[in-house]
Amino acid sequence: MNEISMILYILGIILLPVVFFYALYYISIYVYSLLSISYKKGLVLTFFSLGATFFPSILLPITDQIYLFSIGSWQISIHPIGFVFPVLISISLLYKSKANWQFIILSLIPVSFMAFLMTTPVLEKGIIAPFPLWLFPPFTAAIISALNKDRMNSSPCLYAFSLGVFGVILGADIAHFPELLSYSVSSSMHAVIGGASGFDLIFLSGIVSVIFTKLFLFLFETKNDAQFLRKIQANM
Amino acid sequence: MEGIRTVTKQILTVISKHPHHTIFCTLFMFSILINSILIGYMGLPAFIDSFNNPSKYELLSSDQLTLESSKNYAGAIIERQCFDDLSKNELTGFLCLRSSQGTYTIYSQTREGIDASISDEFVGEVVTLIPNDPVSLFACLWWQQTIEFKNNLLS
Repeated sequence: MNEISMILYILGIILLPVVFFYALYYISIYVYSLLSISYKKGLVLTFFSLGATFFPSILLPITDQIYLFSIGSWQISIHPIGFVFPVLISISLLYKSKANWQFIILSLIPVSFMAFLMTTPVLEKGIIAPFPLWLFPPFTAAIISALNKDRMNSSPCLYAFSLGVFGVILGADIAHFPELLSYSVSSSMHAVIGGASGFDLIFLSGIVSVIFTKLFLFLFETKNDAQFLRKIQANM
Repeated sequence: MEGIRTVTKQILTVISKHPHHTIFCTLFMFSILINSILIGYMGLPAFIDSFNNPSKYELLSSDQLTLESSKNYAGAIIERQCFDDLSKNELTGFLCLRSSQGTYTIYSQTREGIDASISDEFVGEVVTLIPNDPVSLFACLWWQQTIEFKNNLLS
C-alpha cells in the first residue's frame, strides 16, 4: 500500500461513520420536523436514540432496561429508548393535537394484525421480523393515514407514527408474548420490550411510517394535480 | 473579554444559521480525534489491518476479562493468532488465554512461563489494553461499530 492509497484508506475509515451517523441524524431530524417537534427537541431525541443504540454502555451505564415484573423464569422489562421514547412521543403529540382517538383505535386493528403476521417469537432473540417483512406494519399505518387525511384533526404523519408504534407494541410484542413465555427455559431469561433500542421494531416502524406517509401524500397530490391539469386541458 | 464575547456570538450565529453543516463538521472532527486516539493505542499497521481482516480482532470488555495485573482496565483489543507449536513462538508481550468457563485472562509473561502454570486455550496477542476512562472506551466502541458497519456494507 503506497502513501497516497493509505491516506485515502484512513480518510475512508474516518468518513464512513461520519456519513452513516449524519444520514441517521438527518433522517431523524426530518421525521421529527414532520411530527412538528422543534429542531432543538429533535436534536436531543436523536442524540439519545443514536447514543443508546450504538454506545449503550456509555449512555446507559447502570441499566439499559426498566424491570416490570416476573412470570415464572421470565423477567419482563422495557427499554427506556426502544419503548418509553416512542410511546411518550406518540402520547404527548396525540394529546397536544387533540387527536381523533376513535379513528386511532379502529386503525390500530389492521396495523396490529399485520405486525402479528410479520413477526415470530424466537427464544434467544425475542420477537423478530426479518427484512423486508418488518416494512409491512409501517406500510399499512402509512396507507391508512394517507388515505384518511381529511378525517384527521392534525398531520397524517403524527397519526402514522402513533399507529406504527402502538400497532407493533400490540401486534408484535403483546400478542406474541404468551407464545414466547410458553417456551420452557431452565435458567432465568430476560424479555425486554423495545430491547434493540433505536433500531427496535417499535421505534423503527414509527419512523418508517412517517417517511412512507410523506411519500404517499406526495404521490396522491401529484396524481390529483395531474387529474386537475387534464380536466383543464379537456375544457379548453 | 469583549473580543471573546464577539467571537462566541459570531460562532453561535453561524451554528444557528447552518445547524446541519455544524453537526457534520462536529462529527468529522470527532471522528478524526477518535481515530487518532485509536491509532495511538493500536499502532497504524494494526489499525489498518483491523479493517482489512476484522475477524482477526476482538474487543473484550472488562467483565469478560480477568487481568493478572492489578491495574484497572476497561477492556482489551485482541488479535487472534494460531500456532501449531506454541513452544516455538517468541511472543513476549501481553497474551490472552481463554479458560474452559469462557473467561479471558491476560498474562504479561512469555508463553513458556504460562505453559508451566496453566493449560488454558491460547487466543492471541493483546494489541492494546484500554484505559478505564470514558474517551478510550468510547474510541474502542466507535472502532467496533465502524468495523461491523464496514462488514455489513461489503457483505
